[in-house]
Amino acid sequence: MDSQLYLKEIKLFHFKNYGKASFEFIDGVNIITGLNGVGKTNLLDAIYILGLTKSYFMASDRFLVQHEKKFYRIEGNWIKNSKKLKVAIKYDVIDGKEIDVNGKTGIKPMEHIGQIPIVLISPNDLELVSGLNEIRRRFMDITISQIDPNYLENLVTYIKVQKLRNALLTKSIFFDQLPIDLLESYEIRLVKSGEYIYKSRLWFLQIFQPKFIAFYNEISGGLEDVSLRYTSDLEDEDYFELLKNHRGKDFEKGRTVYGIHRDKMALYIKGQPLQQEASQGQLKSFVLALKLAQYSILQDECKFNPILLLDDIFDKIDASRVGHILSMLSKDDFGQIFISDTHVNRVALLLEELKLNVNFKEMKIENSFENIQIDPLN
Amino acid sequence: MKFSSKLVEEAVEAMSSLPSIGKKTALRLIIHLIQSDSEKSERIATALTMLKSGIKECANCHNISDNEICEICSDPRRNANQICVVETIRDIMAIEATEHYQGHYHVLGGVINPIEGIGVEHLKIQSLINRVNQIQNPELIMALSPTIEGDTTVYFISKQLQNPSIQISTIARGVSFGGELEYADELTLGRSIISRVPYHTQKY
Ligand SMILES: [Zn+2]
Repeated sequence: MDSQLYLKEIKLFHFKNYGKASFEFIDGVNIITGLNGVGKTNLLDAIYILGLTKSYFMASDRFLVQHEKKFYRIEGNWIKNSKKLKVAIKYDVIDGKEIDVNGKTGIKPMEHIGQIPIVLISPNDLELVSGLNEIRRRFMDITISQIDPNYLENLVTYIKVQKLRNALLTKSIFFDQLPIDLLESYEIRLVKSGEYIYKSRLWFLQIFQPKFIAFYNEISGGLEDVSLRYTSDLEDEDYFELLKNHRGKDFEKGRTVYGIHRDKMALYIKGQPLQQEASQGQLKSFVLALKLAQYSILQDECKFNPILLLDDIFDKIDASRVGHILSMLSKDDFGQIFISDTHVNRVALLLEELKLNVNFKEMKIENSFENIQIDPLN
Repeated sequence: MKFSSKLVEEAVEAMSSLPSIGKKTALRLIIHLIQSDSEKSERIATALTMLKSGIKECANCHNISDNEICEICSDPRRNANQICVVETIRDIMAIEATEHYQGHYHVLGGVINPIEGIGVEHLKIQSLINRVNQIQNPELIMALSPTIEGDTTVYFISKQLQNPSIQISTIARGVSFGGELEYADELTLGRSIISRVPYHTQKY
């Protein structure tokens, strides 16, 4: 890969446990060590926010603001294609979020997402295979959004128009009082965005599936019959007809029943649904294979090595597997990697043992308060 | 805030009920009036009373007006076949300030938004349709906010208009366009109103 992307420096203000802190990183493997609770995960999450504009762990930004403070700010100084890329994300409890890129303010999330492709692997990811369908749908959305900005735009439109249509359905008392012309205006827009999303997800599964199977077999060291199956309401019926024919049902329920908002990405092993059949080990391999395939598809489509964030990876995965992951990723050349670990020196030793051709830097977070750098002017 | 006078207190309360005027600003204005000639206060009071009792809504375009029909609608030099559809009277003021537009307007009063309880019947959509039906070769310029609600409203209206000779366009929304019409600076808006793009329902 001849084009490179890496984070040189990050500055945090009032973010979680960090009052004011800055960290410098290398274009290689950055190992962040420290005891539980010093803020290693928060640091990785801050890097994630610089790329995706949203936290990996928290649904609401409010919970990311340091206790008793009114805003947080994250600044990242990146190098992309040998050029400086400065990204600042600010969230204020009253004014909301603001994204600045290279000094330009008011950047929309869909203009920025995809500029810094990121994959995060965390011990909580088991949800991805054992949790609700919604989680796997979000996985598809986050991946495709980083590849295609139009996808995110259509997704936002779809959600909004669906809300408008649902509101219209609930506002009328009798079915025959529904303003059909207006309902149809919403449906036509829903169909346009819905079809775009459906086609994008189909395309995604097509190129994602072989990558996923290859990674799964490499991790598990065997040839198991694993697969992903994407199903959608849109697959055998015209979406507009579907909406039109179920207006009565939708009116009774007060919401739009059919659509891409209930698409499924189901996981199978030996032809059986994964949740019923798999062992804990197989579930873990599934998660890892999904994440590595995500890394690989972003690498191919974004033409950059994505940033890889490995949060507390030894917590759920043994050292030999971690070594395996690192070796696999290093087949091609490495992108920038961040690894957090509770043990000092463990990852460094592993890297040396594996004799991987990669630069690494270990930094230890002792106590988040010690990272507060007092501004000399104050 | 404590006042030694009930009259001052009432005046401050009344003044501060206006948008973006706080108690401190209100008090400053009231003290200014107390210290000025009584003519000043009388002029303001009369202007406000006259305003509320005299102001009308133009029966044609729903703009504010002194008469049954507003100055824009009754100006013979303006092109009555061309109607620029806006959300509020503030949008008219912003477009008028550019001096780039010589047609008529139509104030909808908002965009359709069932989430906020704004239905077709709450807006001046039917009156727009009636107006357009009386024009020989109507030209509509849709200058609604570039939001999903704005887009769906434009689509809905264009579907209601059956006149085959009608020409519909939307104002060009450049990147620099600041979202809502009233915030667009005059130059941007002037440019947008000149560089219109034809509207096709197929593109919706
Ligand atoms: Zn008028």
